[in-house]
Amino acid sequence: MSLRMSIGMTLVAMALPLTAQQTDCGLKVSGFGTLGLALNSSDRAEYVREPTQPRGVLHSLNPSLDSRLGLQVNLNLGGDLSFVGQTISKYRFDHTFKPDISWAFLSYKPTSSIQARAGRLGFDVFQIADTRNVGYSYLWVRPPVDFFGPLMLSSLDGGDLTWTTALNEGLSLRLKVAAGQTAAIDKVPFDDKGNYVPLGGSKLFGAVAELDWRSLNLRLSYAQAQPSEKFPAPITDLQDGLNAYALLLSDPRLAQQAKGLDFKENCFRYLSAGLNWQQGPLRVEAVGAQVRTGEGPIPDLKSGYLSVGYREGAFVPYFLASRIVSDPHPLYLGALPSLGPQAAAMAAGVSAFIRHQRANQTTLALGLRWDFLPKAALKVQVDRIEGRPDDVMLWINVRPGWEGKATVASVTLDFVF
Amino acid sequence: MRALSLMRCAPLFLATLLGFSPARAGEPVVIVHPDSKVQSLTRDEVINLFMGRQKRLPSGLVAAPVEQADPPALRARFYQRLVGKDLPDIHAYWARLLYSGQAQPPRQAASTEEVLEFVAANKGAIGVVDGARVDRRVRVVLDLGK
Repeated sequence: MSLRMSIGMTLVAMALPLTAQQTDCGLKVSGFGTLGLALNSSDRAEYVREPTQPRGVLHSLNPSLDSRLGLQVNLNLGGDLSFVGQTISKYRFDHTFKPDISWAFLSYKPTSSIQARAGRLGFDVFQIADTRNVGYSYLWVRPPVDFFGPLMLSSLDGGDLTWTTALNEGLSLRLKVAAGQTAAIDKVPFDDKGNYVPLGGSKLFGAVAELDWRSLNLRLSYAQAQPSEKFPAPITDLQDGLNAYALLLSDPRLAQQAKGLDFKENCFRYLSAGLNWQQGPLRVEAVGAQVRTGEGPIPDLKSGYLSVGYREGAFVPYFLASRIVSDPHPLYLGALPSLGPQAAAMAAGVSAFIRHQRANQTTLALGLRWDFLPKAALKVQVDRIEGRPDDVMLWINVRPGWEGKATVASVTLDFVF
Repeated sequence: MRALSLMRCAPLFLATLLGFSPARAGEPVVIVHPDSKVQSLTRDEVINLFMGRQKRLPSGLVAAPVEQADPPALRARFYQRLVGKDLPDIHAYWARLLYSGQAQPPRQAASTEEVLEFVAANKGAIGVVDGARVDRRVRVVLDLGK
């Protein structure tokens, strides 16, 4: 028996069906990628796909936003045991495309209903969260930024356990728990000097309940992340300053604010509900999520999206609406703003930091996916974003004159091989 | 009705019968190894096996799904009949499962003969072929052309 072998990332390979490279020893090498270009109508704020990107898109065509390449090996170790390793190269916190190890886990699946995995896993508590880099697997040029922007946790060092059961004909239930710590690969830059917030090492727990009924999928998920590290220096400086003024002014509430600014003092709790329905040519996806933070001034978030697409042969025109809202926690600065220039600068620094934790915006997008080859799709999308200009969590290098409005045009070529 | 029960207890007879091609040419049928101890499968069972949700045949054997990659017409018809999806949707579905490390897509064979050979050689194999090409090396467990 000779199975088809396909090698390389050429158009020829892309024209082959979804075979990848399969050999009889159980080793399979495959990959995915996106070549993208994006353009922003505004030159006042840089548009990013995820906050791990150090620079975003302005007036000139930008290939870094969406372009990425992934390679995966699936190794069948015989019986019920297998290994999956995956590496992804994409634009990351240090302005490079250095590849990171996204998955490296052992999977044990003794029956159809139970699967246990251990190692570095995709944290798939949120809908499509573990395939957000596989553009070919979804409709849009990129997962909705309003929704996935704040959900940066992608890889988990730990384990998960999945139990699937058929309840009735066409009706099945899947329950999953995952625990471990966030992988060290996710880092969020917050200035141009190479400073970043490491997201690795946070204790992570997640649970998902998923119901599949014919073409309908319903999903309820919960996750919590407890950071183990402090924020880096410029932010701890703000905390030290607040603590000093708390002593000086005998104002314990300022010390409380300083504590609340600590990354470690914020246990992030995520709750999300989603629906995915695909019936004939119609596909609908709707997801809502809530993120709760600690007692301090770092705001809570609510976000969601609705996507509707309709397949007409090789073409799927689609509509996508997404929204994110911040619920501000009260920020107490006491007498600081009126206490002289140094104290006022401190207060301004704290306010600016909080503004960077807030997002209030709505995005409406229209797009078209064209499956022009069996393993490649071309997509075009136009996003109109309108939001509060002061709340800049999802924007980078905001310049004076930013009004919170932008139109972003994108084109991507997504492929698997 | 009697003919049907006869078919169930006499797989050889069924294969002979299919040799006369009751299934129309170009219509997908699901086949297994004659010794797989599987006489027939429901549509749901085939969906679970070909969409990566189930990894064992009802008889307990580890399933090895296989399908013919090219030409895509038969595959397209198979998935349209099975789950009402076009091939690009099936490919996107598998990209999601494969690259999240959850499951692997069915083996892709280069020809109908290769599917037949693979199924004839592996007790756990389950394949899709053109109904007109079925021979006595394999057993039909679901005819989607009906």
